[in-house]
This record gives sequence, C-alpha cells and structure tokens, in this order.
Amino acid sequence: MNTRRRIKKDHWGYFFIFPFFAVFAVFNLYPILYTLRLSFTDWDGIRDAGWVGAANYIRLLGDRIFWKSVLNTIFITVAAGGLQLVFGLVLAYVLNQKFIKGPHVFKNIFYFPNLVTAVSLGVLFNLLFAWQGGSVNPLLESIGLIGEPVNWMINGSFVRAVLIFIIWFQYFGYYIIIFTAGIKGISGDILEAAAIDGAGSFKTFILIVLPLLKPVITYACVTILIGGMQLFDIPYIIGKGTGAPNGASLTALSYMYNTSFKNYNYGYGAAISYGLFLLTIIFSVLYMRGNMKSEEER
Amino acid sequence: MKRRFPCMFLSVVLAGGLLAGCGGQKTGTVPEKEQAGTQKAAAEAASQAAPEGASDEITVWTSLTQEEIDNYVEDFNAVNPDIKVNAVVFPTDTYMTKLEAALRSGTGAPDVFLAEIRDLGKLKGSDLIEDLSGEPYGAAELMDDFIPYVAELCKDDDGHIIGLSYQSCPGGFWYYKPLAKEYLGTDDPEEVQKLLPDWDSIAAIGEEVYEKSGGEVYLMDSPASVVAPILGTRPGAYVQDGKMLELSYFRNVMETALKIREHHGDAMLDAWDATWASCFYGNNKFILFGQPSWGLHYCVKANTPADAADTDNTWGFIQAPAAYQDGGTWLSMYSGSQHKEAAWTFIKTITADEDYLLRYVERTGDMVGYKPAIEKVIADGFRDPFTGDQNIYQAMYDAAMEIKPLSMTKYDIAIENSFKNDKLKLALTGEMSIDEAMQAFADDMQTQFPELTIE
Repeated sequence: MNTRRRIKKDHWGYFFIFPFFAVFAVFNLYPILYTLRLSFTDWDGIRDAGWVGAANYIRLLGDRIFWKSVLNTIFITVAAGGLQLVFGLVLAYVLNQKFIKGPHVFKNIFYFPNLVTAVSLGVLFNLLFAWQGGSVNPLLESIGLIGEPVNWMINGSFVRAVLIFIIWFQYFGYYIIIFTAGIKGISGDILEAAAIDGAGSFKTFILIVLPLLKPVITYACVTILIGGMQLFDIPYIIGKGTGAPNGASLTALSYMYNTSFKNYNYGYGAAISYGLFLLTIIFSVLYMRGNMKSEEER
Repeated sequence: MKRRFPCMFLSVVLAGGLLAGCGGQKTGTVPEKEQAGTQKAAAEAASQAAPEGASDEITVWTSLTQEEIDNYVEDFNAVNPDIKVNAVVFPTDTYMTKLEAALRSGTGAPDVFLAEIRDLGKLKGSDLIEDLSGEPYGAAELMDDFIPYVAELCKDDDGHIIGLSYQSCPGGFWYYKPLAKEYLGTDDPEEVQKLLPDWDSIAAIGEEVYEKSGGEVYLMDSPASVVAPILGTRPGAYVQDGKMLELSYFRNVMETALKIREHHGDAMLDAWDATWASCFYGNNKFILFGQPSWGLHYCVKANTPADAADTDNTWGFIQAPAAYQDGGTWLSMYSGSQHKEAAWTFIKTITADEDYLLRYVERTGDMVGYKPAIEKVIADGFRDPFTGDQNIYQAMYDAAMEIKPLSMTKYDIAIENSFKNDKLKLALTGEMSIDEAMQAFADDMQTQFPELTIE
C-alpha cells in the first residue's frame, strides 16, 4: 500500500546555488566570524593580537561615548524615518488620486535626491553653513535677519537637524515609490465601496488605506531601522570625522570607524560592531513582536 | 531533456560572471591588494621616464600627490640613474590603513614608504619596519649631520633608527607683507619680530589691527596658529609612560587662544578648509599664519594660481614666541623588502644626499633636515621669489636648531583632533565655558583610551 511516491530530487539544484554560497562564505560569512573573534582580542593592526576575553564587551557596557552615539543614531533614525514615512505615505496617496495630472513627473522629481551621493550632500551643507565663508550667512545678513555671521555648525541640535533633513531629503522619494506600489495593490472594489458609503479622501486614507498597507509599512520601518543603524557617511562629513560638535553628530558606526581605523583599536571596534549587531536584533525582534501582537488583537 | 544543456550552459556562464563581478565589490583585504596591484601596474606603465638598463627596482608608497612624488623620483634618478622607482600614490585618508594591511600581510607591500611623523608614531615598535641604525645601512653615522630634533625623531623608543626625513619643520609665523606694511607699519622681518615677542603683545596688536581696519583685517588667520606654536613647545610627549600631558597645559592653550579671540586677534577661520585656503592669494583677511617651514610650500604656493604674476616679495618669516616643530615626512623601509640595498640607496639619497637635496630646495623652497645641504643652500644665497630678499633659510635654520625633540605617540592624532578641532572651537565660540570644554576633552580622552592616566 505504499502509494506515496518518493519526490524525485534533482541534484542539479546544488550546482545552481553553489556560486552564491561560495561568494557569501568568503566575502560575508568569513569576515563576520573573524570580526567576532577579533572582538575578543586587543589587535591594533600592527602587533600580534592578544586574547582579552570579554574585556572589550565589559568596556562597551560602560562606554559613555558609545551609548551617546547609539542614542544619537536612534534619535536621527526615528526622526528622519518618521518624516520619510509620513511624507512617503501622504504623497503616495495624494499622487494616486485621480485629480493629479501626470503623477509620474512628480514621482521622478521626488526620487532625484535619492540619486545624489550622500557625501556630496554632506559637503554641500558644510559649505552652505560654514561660519565665515558659507553662503547662508551672507544671504541672511543681506535681508537683515541676522546682524553678524551665525556659527550654525557649532550647535549640536542644529547639526542633528541638518542630518535629519538630509536623510529625509534623500529617501522620501524612495518610500513614495514603495507606498505607491502598495496602494496600487489595494483592490479598487474596496475603495469604490468606501466612496459609495460616503467616505471622504481623508477617512479613506486613515481607515482603509493605512491598515491595508500594514505589511508595506512594516517593510519600510525595518529598512529604515537597518539603514539607520548603518548611518555613517553623512554624519561623518558633517561632523568632520570627530562627531563635532562634542559628539552631537557621532553615530554608532562613526564611533566604530574612528575606534578601528583612526585609533587603531580593531579589537574594541569589532566589539562595538557586534554590540550594534545585538542592539539591531533586539530592536527588530521587539518591533516584530509588537507587530504580531497587534495583529493577534485584531 | 533537450532544454537542459542550454540551461546548464547559461547558468555556468552567469555564475562565472557573478564571481568575476563580486571580486571587486565586496569589502575585505583581497580587493585591496587587487587595487594596489592595479595601481602598481598603472604606476609602472606611467613611469616610463625611468632609464633603461636599471639595475634594481623598488616600489615606493606615499600619500603625496602624483606630481610631487614624480618630481622626487626624477631628481633621484638624476643623481642615481641605476634604480627604477615605481611610485604609488594613495589618498590621505585611506593611506595608513592600506599601508598597514600591506605591511602586515606582506603581499604587495612596498619597499619604501613615506609617512607623516604622526603616522610613523603609530608604527613605532613593530617589527615591520627595518632598523636602519647598523650594518649594512649605517644610518647611525649620519645622525650628527641632521638637525638635532630631526635626528631624535628618527628613532623609536629603543633608539633604533626607523626612518629618515628630508625635511625639518621649524615653526614660526609667516606674515603677509602688504597688510603688515599697512597695519603694523612695517614689513621688515626684524621690525615685525620686535612687535610680536610674546602672546600678550600679539593679543594687544591683534586688537589694534582689528580696530584700524574697521573689522575687516585680523592679525592671525585661525586659532590653529595660536595652538600649534604652544602645543609644539609642550614639555614632553603627549603620552609618557601611560600618562597624558597635564590638563593644565591644555587649559593654558585654551586660555591663550580665547584671549586672542577676545581681542579680535584671529579671523575665526577654520584652518585647512576651503574658505581659509582661498585667502592666501591676494590676501585681504589676515596678516599672520602660524605654520612651519612648509607653510610657504603647502599653504601659500599651493593656493596660488600657477599664472599669478604679482607674488614676488609678498611674504616674510618670523619666529614665534617659542621655537616649535610640526609635521614632516619620513621615509622608512619595510623589513620584508626584497630590494633592501636599492631601497636604502633611495632613502639615503632623498634624505642625506647634498646633490639631491639642493635640487629639491631649488624646486620647492622647502626646509630640509640635512645640515651640510642647509649650509650649502645658505652659502649659495638662496632666496625664494615669494619672500623676496629675506634669508628665510637662515631664519628657519636658526629656529630648527633650537627645537627640542618631542617623540610622537599613537595617541597624538586623536588627542589633537579632539582638542583642536572640537573642544577648543566650542570654548572659543562661547558654546561652552573653558571648564566645560576641558572636562569634555578629559572625558573624551579617558573614554577613548581607558588605559591612560589623565589629570
């Protein structure tokens, strides 16, 4: 009575997936594992590595600058990410409305900042807001708003605001595209039914579109989170490498970079990157848990 | 069944493409060496100017510009035509990382590498640098012919000679003659020197210049010109036996800089940024800037257009309140080099060969570190068109002989970065009080280097 046929397996499959795994093992997996090993040493790039056990991690727990940089990173990520989400959702919804002629033109224009390299934007803003030689100060002076040149970049809050602005500016176009795809995926029947029931645009947006876009919003949040944890290039340029002023623009990854490649403390730098890795996992898990809980409640 | 073969073929080809493509994109040390290899090949192809029939060949790495290193090689080959030199150039910010990776792994490592003195401080004590003191190099015998502080900096903590330098970098003030004439009343070096013997007079004169010019012209360019001379005369290395230099010394620097700022003595520029650099040609902003001997070469000349016609006799050099040194480029040999003899010939010629050094001075006007060459330059009556009649070489020689050597440590760059570029600026603009800024500096250093004693 053994009517169950064995599923015919083809061994060719392994050949097809082998290249990816080979490359992954050499260029991704090996460095990741090597960094883990490095985090238990005190290697400085020149002399031989000495085993220090968990000393780097213990130091990490009490490292004031590390936690400040993590808070900075979270603050900037949440603020910029929030702005990206809001603008992405609202603009995607608005551009999807029938009364907008030529939505593609707008989507293209909004997407352009994403194509500009982050470093160029950082350099641009540095030049704009430079105290003595920038463009903003003379402009404001000529229209009488300020009496003498203002040193914008010395103020920590301003520097963070600039960072948030640049990141939002770069990525909100990308999220418009993502959410447009999501909105297009909503069945027209539902929206028609809502219109017939007398729901205006705003109510439709809040009560129908947003809930149905939950998976897309989750995806967007996770990418924002991961991208935010990796934030390095713009803060590095704006903060001139040291996280000026006084650590206001120091992100977690900038701190790791400075520790490893400027202070030549690769062992501790490796510990920092693993610390970040753990934090990212914790945040992701908490977020997913929170998401799943609200799914169950519904 | 029939479709299998084309599918297989296509997937193998695609997989091959994937592997080839991925090799250059991912991070890791393999692509770095590949990159160094291609750069090396490009440099080899480029340096066809090297003579035929060269008896040996060496690779030199540097973070100078391609043009500069090519000039050095050209002058070197004029003196030593037998050795072919492949010069590879790297951008400054990634140079040390790549150099260390290459030296450690041994693959693609250069025979000779140039390093700024602070970067060399980081490599001290490792066995990757060849000790040049004894046989067969005999650098120890050359030491007496170098300016004393340069000779000291060539050595590591155990007294082994780990590199030689072709420069000496005595610090002073460069002053812009037209503005000095207008606001100080004189552009003669001795007169200007008399006006500015110490920091108090500098502050007072700073105030005068500011008022006379209605706030347009300042005495100094940036706080860096105040900080460098004072830090350059610190009582010892930044870190000695695990203890950082006293915080009170840093505090004194901050207070002096603040005093100058309060008297409107500095133009509040950021040294080395675009605005600052643009001031040098047709300067109408500041009279003095405090940089060592290479200031003429790397600050003034570098920011002057090549076709500028009115640059003669526009700058002068005076001593700062105390002789200080800053910077300098050293040449070191990789201990695993396969061409040690040729490498030593290169190092020795670039740093201690009169013939070569005279050509170098002719080309750049820079201050060298080899006394016989310096004396010959002075005897030849060397003058640089930019500084007119002033015997700047003698002035810089006098300054250089006074300098006490300060050994470089691996903490130097981090300490100076945090102090000069971050905390000092906060104190000067009033964002933080001096107490707060000093506390922030101390905390920063203690957190980054918990092994140091800081007080």
